[in-house]
Amino acid sequence: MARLDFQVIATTLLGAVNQAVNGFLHVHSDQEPTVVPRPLLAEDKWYVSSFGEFYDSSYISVIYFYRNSKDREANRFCGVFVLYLKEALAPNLIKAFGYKDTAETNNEVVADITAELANNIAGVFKKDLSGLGYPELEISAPMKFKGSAGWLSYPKNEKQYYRVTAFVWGQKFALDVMVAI
Amino acid sequence: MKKILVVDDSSVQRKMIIQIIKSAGFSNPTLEAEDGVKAIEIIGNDFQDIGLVLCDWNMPNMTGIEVVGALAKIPPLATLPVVMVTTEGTEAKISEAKRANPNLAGYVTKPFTPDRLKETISPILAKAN
Repeated sequence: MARLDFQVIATTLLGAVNQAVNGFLHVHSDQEPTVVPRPLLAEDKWYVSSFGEFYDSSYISVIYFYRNSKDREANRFCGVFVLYLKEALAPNLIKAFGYKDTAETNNEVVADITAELANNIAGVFKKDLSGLGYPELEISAPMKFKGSAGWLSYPKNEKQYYRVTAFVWGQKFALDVMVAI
Repeated sequence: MKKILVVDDSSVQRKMIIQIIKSAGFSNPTLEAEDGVKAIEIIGNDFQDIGLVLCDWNMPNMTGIEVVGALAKIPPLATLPVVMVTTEGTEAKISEAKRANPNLAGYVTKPFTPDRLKETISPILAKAN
C-alpha cells in the first residue's frame, strides 16, 4: 500500500488536535494549528527534550503506534507521538479541571492532563486513519515525562517527522508525530 | 440511590466524568477504579448497589474490554448497565465491545462533550434511580 502523503497526514493531524483541544480541554485553539515536516537527523533514535523548543521544562507525553495488535504485542511500533505542554500552561490546566493550585497538585495533575490530551489526540488520529486504509492501528498507553523523554527509537529508514504547533490560553504547545505509514 | 462506578487509568478523566455527572444533576454516590482489576473487585463487593459502570478500554492490568466481557459471563452481573468511554471509536471496536457484552448500555468516544455523556447516561440513571 502506498504511503499516505503529507497533505493527508497534515489534515488528519490538525483535525485531531482541534477536536481534542475542543472536546477534552473545552477551549478553542487561539489560532489555527499548523503542521510542517521536519527532518530526522539520527538513524533510528530521536532525543526528545523540551528545552530546545520552549526554553523551559515542559510536560511531555509519548504514545507509540502499532500497525495491529500482533505488532503491539511484539512491541513493533510504526510511529511515535510526542506532545509537549509548556509549564506555563499549568495554572490554566489546573483551573480548567477544577483542581486546587498547590505545589503537590501541579506536577502530578498536569502530567496526567498532558497524557490524557495526548491520548485523545492520538485516539482521534488513529480513528481517522482507520478510514484511510489502516483499520487495525493500535496505540500504547501514554507515557509521562517532564523536561525530557530521553532517546526514543523510531523505525529505521524514516527520514522525517511532523511538527504540529498550536496555541491555547496564549501559549504554544507542540506535537511531534512520526508515522511510518 | 444507586452508585456509579467510573473506571479509567487517568485520574483527570475520572474527575472530569464525575464532574459532568454532578453537573447533570445526578447526586448518586461515585466509586472509582484505576484499572479493570480494581473495577472487578469493587463490582464483586458492591454490585447490588451499583447502577451504572462507565469504563475506559485501554488500561493496565485488565482492559475495559476484558471487564465488560467478564461481566457478561456472570449471570447476576450480565445486566449491570455498562457504558464504555474510550478513544477506541472505530466501528470495529464498537462491534467488538458489543460482542463481548451484548447488554452493553452505551458507547461514548473520547474526546466527548459533556452533553454527549449526559445524553447517554441520563436514561440509564433515571431507570436505576
